Formats: sequence, structure tokens, C-alpha cells
Amino acid sequence: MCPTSIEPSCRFHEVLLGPDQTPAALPSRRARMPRFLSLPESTDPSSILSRLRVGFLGVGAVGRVACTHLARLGLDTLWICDSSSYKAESLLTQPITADDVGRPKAQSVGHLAKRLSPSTRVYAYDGPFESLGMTAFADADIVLMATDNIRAEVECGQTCLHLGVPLVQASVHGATLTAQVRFWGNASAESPCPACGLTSQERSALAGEVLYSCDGAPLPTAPNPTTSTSHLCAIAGDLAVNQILRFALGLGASVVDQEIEWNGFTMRTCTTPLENRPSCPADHAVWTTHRTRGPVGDCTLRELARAAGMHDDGRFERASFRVGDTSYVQRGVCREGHGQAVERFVAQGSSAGSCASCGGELIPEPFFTHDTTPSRLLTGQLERPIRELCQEPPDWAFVRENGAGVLYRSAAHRETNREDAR
Amino acid sequence: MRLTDVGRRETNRPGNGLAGLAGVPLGFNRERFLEAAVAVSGGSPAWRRRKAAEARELLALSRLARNRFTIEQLDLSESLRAVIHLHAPVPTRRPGCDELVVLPGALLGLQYRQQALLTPQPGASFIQILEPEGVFLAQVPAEPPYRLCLAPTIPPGTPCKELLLSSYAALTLQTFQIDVGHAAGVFNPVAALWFQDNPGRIPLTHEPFLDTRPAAQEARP
Repeated sequence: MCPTSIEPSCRFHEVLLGPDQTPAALPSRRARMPRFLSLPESTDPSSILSRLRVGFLGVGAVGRVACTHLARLGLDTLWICDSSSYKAESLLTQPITADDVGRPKAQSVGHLAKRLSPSTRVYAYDGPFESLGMTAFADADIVLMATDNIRAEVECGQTCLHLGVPLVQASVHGATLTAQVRFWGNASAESPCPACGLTSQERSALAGEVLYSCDGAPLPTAPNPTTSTSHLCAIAGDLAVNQILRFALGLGASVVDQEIEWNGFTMRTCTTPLENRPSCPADHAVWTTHRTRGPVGDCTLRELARAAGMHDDGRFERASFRVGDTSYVQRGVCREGHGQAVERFVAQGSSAGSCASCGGELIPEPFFTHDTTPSRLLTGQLERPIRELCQEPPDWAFVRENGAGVLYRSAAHRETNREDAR
Repeated sequence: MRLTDVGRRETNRPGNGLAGLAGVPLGFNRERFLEAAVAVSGGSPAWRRRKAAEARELLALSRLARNRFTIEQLDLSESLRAVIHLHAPVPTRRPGCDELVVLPGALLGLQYRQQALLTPQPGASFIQILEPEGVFLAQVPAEPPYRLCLAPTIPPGTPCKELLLSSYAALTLQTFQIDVGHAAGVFNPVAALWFQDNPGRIPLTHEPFLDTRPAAQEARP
């Protein structure tokens, strides 16, 4: 089960080993941990790494290498997200065998990581990042992104920026024997993000990358396969792990908001600062995150707005709200065309209730459905516990006033229990 | 020597096409209308600026095409939301009735989310036809809610003015998708096949989108 929050909205599932897959004796990570230059004598790197939690988006040729390296460091938790499965061509660039062909990548890498480090909690999700929800990587200390899907990169960059979670991207350009690693610190609204650095060519590719069906679901499109060699992908994965290690242990100069590029022709490495583009279309607000004492659903929106320090004019007129991965549905309509007020937070794809006239299913009307809901639409609902405004109790809620936002999450019972166990 | 203006006709066309909308004066009523919407605009500073610019362009376009559409409501508090009365021939068919009835206009709900700046969006995620019911087009589902599909994918950052013009073109069948075999599909295959069989019933209009009459005072936004 996922420690990020309450289970229902979390699509990750924990990877567990069978009794015959668990090694009898686990070696201590300290047995092979070097004494890093510049690290104070009193600092135990194994201890720091054993608390590190890393999210993965994309575990193909680059991500799989990085993930196995990190598993060997004995991290606390790995969340692995990848929507694709291994194909026969994957044998050409990825460190897999024929037995892996046809298996979902996230599952396969998750099992490998778990076998390498049984003490690490490993979670896998065999689906697209976009369907994971806002808080999927909220507990990660770092997210490593190694995907060839620009839309997923931009969305992941936006999510990590809001959550203030550092993001690392590893990629290759096969023809020029180039491996790149970018590290975004996501410390403030002035930090750069992946969308800041998109070239006009990449923006065009982004626009043509996805096709939607009538119901709004993305249609499967021809994937953009990695045209590279396995060694170059491995180098990119290795460099990414090196940057993560330096960041986590504070080794050497800062790696934050930098791109490193290694070239196989010149055998040189270049370091370039990543810069914020003022005209970047991403929302650069970094949210503050708080844990509520009990479930978020027990709080009222007014309590959250007040606790967030929003301008209190009695009605919090300048505030807006989000409740979990839902939308606020003002109005719904049935197939017979009977429209009626709904005024509830509804999960995407869910029914908005039943029609009072004919009993048919109410469908949210798109124009009257809001992702972020201004308080003026919530008159009379600010005082009610959030769980009464939803179909399922949410595990997070968000309050925003202009650029400043505060994310509230339910207390993490599972994490607390695990700390206690230690 | 002094050059004399030989009587260039003053029209409502912006000097630089749609790109010149930012320079079109809104007039008193539309300025106040925009100010009221901007006063309660929410979101990050960049998003507020973008919404204000998009709303201004819509209002400028509504001034130039006042014969074609009017903006009834404008809300910038989160997403950009506008209720737009489009004056154009719109084909409709009542359930269970085979007769095509062409109505003189439609009420559209436009919702432009911040996410539309960043990533490609489904073509049916922007416009809902609020009135009339039973719009009979391949890009509109036969059952409510009546979303209007503008394209399989809308590129990130597409301006609202282009969405509005696409809506006009889609509702009047100036651009349309009647290929039921297309990968993205059509909302209403019956309508697609009907217009394939009855191309003469496509309700075209001779009236241009922009008002070419000399500029005049008008009261409504």
C-alpha cells in the first residue's frame, strides 16, 4: 500500500516478493560505501541514502539503469511509473532478456529493484503519469524522469514545481553520442522548469504528439522509439544517479538548476545553467504543503482558507479551492436533456448523481465544471466538512489566492507507523 | 506636394488581421465590461495577464463582428469563461424527427483553462453549446451535454479568438469532419452520413464574419 496518503486515489501498488525470492542474508550497504571526499567524518552516507525516496517517470533504457543503481544504494522508497511494456526491439537498447518481452516496464523494474533491495519499499504503476493525480510524487525527495513523451515531461515538471520536489531528467541523442542530465531544484517561483527550456521544435512536437478521441481520452499514437545504443542510455542513467547522489549527500558544488552534457565524440562534459523563461506558459507557483491532524475530509474549506492565511473578508472571495483529483460540478444533465444543479466535487469519469425528473444518470456539463473552484460558487458550502461535498473522502485539498497556494494532505498514518517501527 | 486621401473606405477590419486585435479600441461599454471581469481575476500574475489579454481580444473581435456575435457574460475568476451569443445559421434536428431546421444562432459556453497554455487539449474541451438543443452536426453529440469538437487536438496556447472562429466555422459547416472512419471518430455519425448524402442542405451564409459596414456606436458588449 502506498504511504503517500489514503489509498483510494492512489494507483500505485506495492511490489512484494514471494518467499522463495527473498535472499536469506542481506549485506549491509556500509560494506561497500566509499568515504566520499568533502563529506564530514561524522556523516553516514548510508544512513542518509536509506531515508531517500525517489519517484521514477519512465523506466526504459535510461530509467531502468538508474533505478537499479538506486536500489543498490538501499533507498527508503521507489515509486515507478511507466505506461509501456517491453517489445522485442527493447532487447537492443535495454538491459533485459527475452523473458521480459511483453511485461509492463514498471512491474518488471519494480521486481528487479525489490530483489536487489528487499528493505526498499517499491511501488509500481503501469499507466500514464497524467492519470496518477497531483500528489502521486508528493512524498518523493527527488523525481527522476526518463521518458520520450514531451507532454509527460511538461506535466511532470509542472507537478514537481508546484510540490517543490526536485526533478532530474536524463536523456540521450544517439546520432551525436550525447547524454544529458538536467536538474531542476524547484525551490521557488523563479526556478526554471522543463517547459522553460522547450525549443520551438519541441513545442511543435508537443502539439502533434497526442490525438484525442471524442470522449477526450488520448488515442494510442505511434511511439517515438529510442534510437540509440544501450551503452549511451546506460551512461545517461549513470550520470543521473551521480547527480542525485551529489545532491542527496551534498557532494561538491551544487547541481541544482544545471544541465550536464557528455559527448562521446569529444569525450567532454559541459555544464550549463538552466534558466527561467519569463514567458514560460507553466504556472511557476511553488505551493506550501501542510499535513492536517486528521483526514482532510473532516475539515471545512473555510478552516483551510483561514489556516492558509487567505484574505478573510467573511466569504474568502479571493480564494479558490481544489479538492483531491476531482472537479466541482455546478450543473449536470441527463440523456433526456433535464438539467439540474449538482454542486458537488466529482471525480473525472464519475456520475454526478441521478436526474430528479427521470432517474437517469447525470453527466457533468463541461461549461459548469471547474478544476479549481472560486469561492463565490461555493456559497453555503464553505462551512460543511469537505467529505460531505464529495462522493469519496479526498486525501488532499488545495487553497489558492492569486499566486500563493497551500496544499493540505491528510496525516500520513502509514509513514508514521513505519518511523515508529524503526 | 501634399498627398490627398482619395476616400479610403473606413471599415471595422483590424489593420493587421487577427494579430491586430490588440490595437482595436474597445469603446466605453466594453472597456467597463472588461474592467469588471479583470477586477475579480484570479490565479498567478502571468495567468491573470494572459486572461486579460485574451478577454480583450474577444471583446475587440466582438466589436468588429457585432453582427456575428455578442459576449453575454465574462468570468476570469479562475478559468476564462465566457457566454457567447453567436449569430449564424445552425442546423438542428429534434429527436425522432427527420426534418432539418436551421436556426439563426447559438449560445456557446467557452471555458479556457490554464492547462491549455501548457499541453495539447482535446478539441471538445473548450466549447459547450448551451442553446439550442438538438444541434445536428457531426462534431456535436446527439445527446446532451452538447460539446462542440473543434479538432482532434488543440495545440497548447491556441488563442481564444481562434477557438471562437473555429466554433463559427464548425457550426456553419465551413470546416467539418464527416469522415466516420477517421481515427479520432465523430460525435454524431448519423449527422456525418446525412450531410454526406445531402451536401446541398449545408447551411452556408453569405455574410462575412467581420462587419464591413462603417464603424458605428453600439451599446452592447
